[in-house]
Amino acid sequence: MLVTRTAYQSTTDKALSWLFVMPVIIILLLAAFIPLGWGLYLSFFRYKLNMPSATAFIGLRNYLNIFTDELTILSLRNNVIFAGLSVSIELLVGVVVAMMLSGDTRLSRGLVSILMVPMIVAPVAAGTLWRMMLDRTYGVINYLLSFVGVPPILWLGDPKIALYTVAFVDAWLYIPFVAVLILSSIKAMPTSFLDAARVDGASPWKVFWRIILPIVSPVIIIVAMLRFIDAFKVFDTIFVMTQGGPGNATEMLPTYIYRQGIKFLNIGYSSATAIVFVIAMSVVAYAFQKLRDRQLVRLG
Amino acid sequence: MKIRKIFTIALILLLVVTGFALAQKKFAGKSIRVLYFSATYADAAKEYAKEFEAATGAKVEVVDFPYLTLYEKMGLALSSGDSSYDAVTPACQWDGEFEPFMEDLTPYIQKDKFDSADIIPNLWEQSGKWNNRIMGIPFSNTPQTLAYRTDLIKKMPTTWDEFLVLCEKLNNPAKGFYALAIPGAKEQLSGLWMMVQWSLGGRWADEDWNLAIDSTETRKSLEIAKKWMKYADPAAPAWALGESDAAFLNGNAAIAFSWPTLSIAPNGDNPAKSKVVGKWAIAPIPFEKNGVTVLSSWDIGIPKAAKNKDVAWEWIKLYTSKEKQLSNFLKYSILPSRISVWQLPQVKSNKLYPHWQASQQGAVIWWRIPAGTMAETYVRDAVSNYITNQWGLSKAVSFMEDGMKKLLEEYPPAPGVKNTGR
Repeated sequence: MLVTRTAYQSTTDKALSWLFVMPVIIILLLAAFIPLGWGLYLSFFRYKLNMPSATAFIGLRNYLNIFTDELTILSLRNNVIFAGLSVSIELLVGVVVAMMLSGDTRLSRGLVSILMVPMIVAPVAAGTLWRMMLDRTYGVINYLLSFVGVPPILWLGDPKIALYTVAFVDAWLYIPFVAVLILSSIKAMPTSFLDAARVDGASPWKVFWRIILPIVSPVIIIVAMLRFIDAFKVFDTIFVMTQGGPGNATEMLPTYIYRQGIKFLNIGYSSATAIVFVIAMSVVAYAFQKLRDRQLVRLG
Repeated sequence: MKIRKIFTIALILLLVVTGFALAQKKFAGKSIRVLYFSATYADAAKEYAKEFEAATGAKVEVVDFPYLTLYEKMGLALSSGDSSYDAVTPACQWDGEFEPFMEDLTPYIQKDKFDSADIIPNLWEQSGKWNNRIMGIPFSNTPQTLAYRTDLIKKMPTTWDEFLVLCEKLNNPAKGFYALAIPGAKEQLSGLWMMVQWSLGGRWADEDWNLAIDSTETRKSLEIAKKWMKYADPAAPAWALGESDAAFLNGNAAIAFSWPTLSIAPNGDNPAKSKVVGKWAIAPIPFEKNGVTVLSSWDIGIPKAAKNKDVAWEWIKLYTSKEKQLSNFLKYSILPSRISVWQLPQVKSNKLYPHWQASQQGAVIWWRIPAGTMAETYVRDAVSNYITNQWGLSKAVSFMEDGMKKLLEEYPPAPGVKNTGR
């Protein structure tokens, strides 16, 4: 029997759909858009919470200050290096680890469980642990390196090294997350592709490069997007390990926004910085989405 | 029948006694929440809470946060009118920021004839009083002192030049022994630099807020702070206070900068925690021109939004009483704000007594205006970037000056408010 949809049914379906979606829209409005709108409004004011008398509408001056404030620019630069470096390490090591654990043996299953350990450590705890381990004089890392003749390194006190050190710690924390997602994507691949390639005499490298990597690449792009945005929002690890120092060598935008908003109670300026941050991250997310869509089209 | 009579009489007596006891406890059933810095101050408060409850019937919940987060917790609670806390303990440099949100304690002091004359006058001016109002009672003050090894140093120098000569003599990196234990992370290091600048006769601004930071003293003090690093463990630029104190207590340094009262004094003579038992003492920093400054002072007051102000005042009286200040000193190494406590024989014979000389001077090294914390951050960034060779001397000085100038323009001190600190 042929079922035809009447105009009435179509309208009812639409109304029902809206009804089901409405709670999410309301929650989003309350939890995200209203605070964001309020933040946007505050960003046009000089507003220091502990000096209400100094409040004044200053238009776009907070935004102009962002681009002339050398510490904001420095924080942005640090943030880009930090996120770029940590996410690159995570993806590179994550893919390698996922490949190594993709077999279905008892050992690989056991190793996956062990691999999850850094993921369940709170970033504050991890930061504290690493801070102690990386101490130049008393830390275990330099102690171990001394056995291979490496002189003591000032991991967190040297401005030339500190940024890379905290990026490494962030990578250590999130490699398991990346590896587990890529691993699940590899395991979900149809085995027929791999079998066919092996029958045709493809080397393991070619199987990886020509088959596995292209198929899991949309997942890698999504993971990269999630991690890049997350790495850009880094706070706890930096706060615990360096407080943005030495000097401002590890100052990031979130620690800078925190400093302005929570430490100085300088709500107007921190709101403007936060709005710029949200816009920048939205652009990044959009770029990654586009890249993923293009990859999906290419894969057919 | 007789037993019933006895039982009835006993019951009545019990009720009378209980009623009497309850009537004595003025604040029975009430409770207050007090906010402290997570250090010995909070430990002492927790100890006295039981005694306070037994005496007044009111419960005391002591909430404490580390220094790094205390300011924001207190600032947000006060400025948003949050009534969670019945008493708070601002550091002296936050007084100007928090004063609009704090109760004036003058009526309480007058009502109870609180012995105000016993509080060190200079200290109270700098910690607890603001804009002709009393917003807190000081309960602890820590002048700039350092801890040193008595087996290696006979007398601490009084000038920075002599100090550096001594450092050169003591430093022995080949043996893992350094002249100085320094918390080089920017939070603490900038405080240390401030004391040098002050001791050399430098200031951030004059009393009318005309900037004076671009000076010979500022430059010389920055250079001195940089030279310290030559005589400290190379790990020091990343050290917080804990690591620095540990280095001294482990016997790896001859002189420890900053806050001997927080960790070195309570642990220095404990063999389980110290390798320098009986071999350390406290001395003022080389004070040169301006003398020693009070780096830290804490006062306790009542937020305007507090729900139980009378109970909070009762707690303040107990916590700042002579008896408790003595106990604070002997048990927790908290330096008293009361003159009479400093005169007690058991205080005079204590290793921490050299702090008294410094306490009397009572100069506070911070700006106490609402923009004070922001100004301090400019100083932190400049000092840390200079010490770690990221900025030159001129850049560091101009960064501080430009920052402070902008702050004073955007957030000027209230009319009539003079710069009594730095």
